[in-house]
Amino acid sequence: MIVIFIRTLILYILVIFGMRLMGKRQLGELQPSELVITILISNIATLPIEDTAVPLLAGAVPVLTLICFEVILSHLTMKSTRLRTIISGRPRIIIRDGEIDQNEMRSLRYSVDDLMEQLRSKDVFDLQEVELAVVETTGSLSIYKKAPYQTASVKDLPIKAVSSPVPAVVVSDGTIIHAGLAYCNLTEKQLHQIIKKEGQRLEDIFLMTCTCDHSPYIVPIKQPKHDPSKGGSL
Amino acid sequence: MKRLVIAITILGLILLIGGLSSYQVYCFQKDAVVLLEQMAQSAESGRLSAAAETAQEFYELWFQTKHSLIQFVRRDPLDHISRQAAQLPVLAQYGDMSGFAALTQDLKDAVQELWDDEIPYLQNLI
Repeated sequence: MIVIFIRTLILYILVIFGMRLMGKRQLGELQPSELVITILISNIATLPIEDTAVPLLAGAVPVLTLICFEVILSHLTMKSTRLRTIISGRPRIIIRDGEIDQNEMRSLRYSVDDLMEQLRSKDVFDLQEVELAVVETTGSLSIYKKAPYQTASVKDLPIKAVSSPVPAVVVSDGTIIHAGLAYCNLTEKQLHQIIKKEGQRLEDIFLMTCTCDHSPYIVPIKQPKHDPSKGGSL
Repeated sequence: MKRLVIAITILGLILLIGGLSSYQVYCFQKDAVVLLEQMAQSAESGRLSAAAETAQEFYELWFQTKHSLIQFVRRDPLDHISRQAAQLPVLAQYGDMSGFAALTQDLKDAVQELWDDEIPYLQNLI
């Protein structure tokens, strides 16, 4: 039993390492080749876990081989458009100038239900609002609305927009986040001064964000309330 | 680029380990076949004590090799050879010539199969 436990742990670490090696892209939307790799890895990794007669290397080697090929292939597809098209396909336009391209939909085996479902997920309930719709290589639908239905942005309105600096987390659960400090160009000493100025103590802060112009926002830690009705000592 | 270098390094390591494991199986197979043929010849000529000695030698060689092969090869064929190898010295000791000869041939086939499975022949790939 201990052997199975250790083998599971080793394979878990190996698969996590593999996913990290494949990068962030793998964790988000999957390209066809990435989907294949993910399915294969999840299946292969379970074999040596279940069957101790299978050497651990017999599970580790195919997992690592697949991951390495995926990394090499993604580098090659970055360099070659042709290879990228062969491996991942190309985006296909299914609504052009507000008109559905039925032939394209047929060739993609994309039903009207699929189209409506994808449109609804993009908050579009009326097909007439769509100017252009593209099925991406990941299978997701990207849409471009007709001009009257597009969301107004600040530049469309007669107001002066002022860009506000983006805040970063500098304290989380009483712990200083150094990456956040670096983003805000703050030193630890300056941070302590800001906290003191706000009348707080570092250990009492649940969350603190700060912008580049050093304006803070602090959420203090709330102590759990004691409810006498829920029992406990008198 | 860092990921690419890591991926190529890991692939290189995998190929190296694969090559080393195959080489280990090849070396064992080469030595084992010689011992098994010696055993068969000794048994045919009625030299039972010589056959028993060679069988013991084979048994020791196998258990030295098995510990490292277990990391690369499935256990079933290895366990099969272990069981057969353990029977050989006893059969030679008690003079069961027909059983000894059959087991020697069976072991020779099993060892040969172990090596054949390591070679990327078409029948192993498909």
